[in-house]
Amino acid sequence: MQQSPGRHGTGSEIDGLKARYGALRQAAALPDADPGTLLAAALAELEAAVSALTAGGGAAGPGAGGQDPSGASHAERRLLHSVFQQAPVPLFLLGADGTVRRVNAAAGDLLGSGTGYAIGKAFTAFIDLPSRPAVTSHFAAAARKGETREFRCGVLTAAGAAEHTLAVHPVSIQGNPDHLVVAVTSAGGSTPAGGPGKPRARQRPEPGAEVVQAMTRRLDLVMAATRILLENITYSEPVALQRYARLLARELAAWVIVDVQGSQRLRRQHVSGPDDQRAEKLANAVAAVDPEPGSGVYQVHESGSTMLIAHAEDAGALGDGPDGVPLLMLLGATSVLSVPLTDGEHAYGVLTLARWAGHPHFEIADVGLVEELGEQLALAIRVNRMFRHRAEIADALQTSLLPRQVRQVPGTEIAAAHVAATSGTETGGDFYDVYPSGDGWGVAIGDVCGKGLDTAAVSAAARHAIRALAHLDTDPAAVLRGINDIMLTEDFGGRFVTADAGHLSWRDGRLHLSLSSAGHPGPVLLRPDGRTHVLNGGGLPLGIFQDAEPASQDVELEPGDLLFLYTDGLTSACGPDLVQFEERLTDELAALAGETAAVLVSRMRDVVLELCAGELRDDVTLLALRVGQPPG
Amino acid sequence: MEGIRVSSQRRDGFAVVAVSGELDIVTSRRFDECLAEVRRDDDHIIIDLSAVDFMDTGSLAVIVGHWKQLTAAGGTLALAGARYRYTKTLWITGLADRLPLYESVDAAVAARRAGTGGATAAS
Repeated sequence: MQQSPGRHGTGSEIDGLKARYGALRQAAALPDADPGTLLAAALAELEAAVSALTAGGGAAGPGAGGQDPSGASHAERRLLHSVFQQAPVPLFLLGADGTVRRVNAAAGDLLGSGTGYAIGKAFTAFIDLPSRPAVTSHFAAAARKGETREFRCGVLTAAGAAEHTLAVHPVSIQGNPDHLVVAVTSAGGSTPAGGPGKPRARQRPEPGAEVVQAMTRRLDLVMAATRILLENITYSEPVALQRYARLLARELAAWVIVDVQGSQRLRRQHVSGPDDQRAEKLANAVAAVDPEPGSGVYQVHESGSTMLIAHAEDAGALGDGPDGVPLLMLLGATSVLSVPLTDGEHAYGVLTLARWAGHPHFEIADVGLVEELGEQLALAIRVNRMFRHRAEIADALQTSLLPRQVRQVPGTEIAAAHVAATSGTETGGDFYDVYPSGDGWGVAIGDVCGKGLDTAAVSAAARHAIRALAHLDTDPAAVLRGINDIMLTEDFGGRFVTADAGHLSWRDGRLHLSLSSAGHPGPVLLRPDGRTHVLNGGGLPLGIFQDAEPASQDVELEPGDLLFLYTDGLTSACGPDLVQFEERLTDELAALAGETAAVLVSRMRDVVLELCAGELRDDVTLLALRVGQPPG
Repeated sequence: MEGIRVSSQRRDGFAVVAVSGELDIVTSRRFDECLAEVRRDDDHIIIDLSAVDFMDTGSLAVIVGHWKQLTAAGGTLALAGARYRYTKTLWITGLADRLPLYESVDAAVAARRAGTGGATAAS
């Protein structure tokens, strides 16, 4: 909701346009400026200016998702949108059912209808009747085989039916090939590709296969870059920067240098180069020397404007590298593009790309793309820093909620472990506790389900309420009923608590367990010989129903027996094969029969972390109680 | 991290919200937003869970939250097509016995139209 497409958006668009206009003028002054490319870029900018001026905001996405509140996602959409919109080839983005989801400007021109008209219609509506069945089967084949298909067919354009070559390419998002991009790669017959009176980029040669390929590569690059940033949100900033730089070094330039503002000056954060040993050594050497104040990257950082040196005649343009050798000479680079890493408010550093002699030099057409990538990276840095901070707070909170040391019950050994989820940044609601209760001891484990900023507080409240109630009443069912009543008096939205609570007391050399469950998985009883009994859970979660009655049972525990309590984060943890840990729970436990509670908890923790490769989507809490010899 | 897809359509006076994919800590927020959006226009909702491959307790809390609010306001919310293997949370928590749960959207619509509201759980 914070992004309004009104004046503010238009203002920053215009600032961007101004800056790029300046860059265009600069480029035009270069000795071997290519007038064709410059004209195309200028026209594209003009178009961007028109859309910025007429913008009341883009069309809302067709999904039911609504507005994503994150700035990074907003920037990503804008970037994708503009690359797509300004592609010099008619492009259609289709849903899996062949419905037109998006149309770029060139495609609108081709149809002569504007971009809005086609959206929501079946793509075949714009195909000449005799060609329709063939087009449909080409689409199906492209989606099925995941490959690009090219074919000729009759397209209903502004100037009537005309033969065109279509290239259809499946686009996969998160592995599902659920979209198709259709590019009209060549006009045939006498019909001009553009509508009448639409000069746009038509001075260019007819867009051929190379242009389509180049555009596809750009779209791929932007999507890959976006994916890295989104996927790395839980990783550290240096990791995200490094992966991003590597991607760009592979796709866009020989060398990629990321400089990040430190407390005093720019730090050379990361250098990526070609994938060989010599280059890696060189990259490390270059990364060890921070940029000098006054050098090109500082100017970019301080002015917030891009530096394009299509042909670097001055080898010192990027300052010196290690041993005082000019950096460009060291890298063998002759063409340099440096963009500020800024989200419009804050300057985070500089992204510099360098290409070797013999490779195509950077041109104006690259500036827009790389500037957008820089802005995207800046947004990712901002979001990462914000989230890291919040995650640190959440971790601290969570740690403070759980007992630092588990209280030991006489004649038993108790160990517990908590592993916070790696997905998401909100504090999980798991809790556990061991506490005195009447003539014996209480043990509880639970999970506050549902999200909210105060989940940690609810979890703490539940834990302390259990302690207090258990002090008054040794019956764990009464304790859980009490928690239910307390929770019902407050409005926690949909949140509820699942819990197992037990009362332990020694009687005649055996440890008596009175166990009550409220919608929580039942504990597992592990005998010393490896037999396992999954005790019934049952009952209903607390905080939803007035009449929720906990399920209760009594269990006699012998010396050597081990009681294993856990939260559902353990059983629902799963690896890449999507097999949940639940299926292995009793096997893994049986294999640990006879071990101490501490060893068992630590091994189980390792096993589940290994299974899910460190990617936990829910908190995992484990508590093991091993029965020893009766005290005294 | 797989995403989810949520779509809704009207059928016989119900808003049928179909979800596919994994409902977890990452996706439950979007799920929540989608349900909130549907509820702006509809008080009678059926959530089609037949294509849900995973459901954690947080997502279940999202459902419970909407169910509580809807029933308090005279609306209804039913669940359809939940597969035990993939939405075990419903059963572990015992909520499968308390939330209106049907084999399929068809069954939910039929039962609802026949006026058998409440917890007529499909086994």
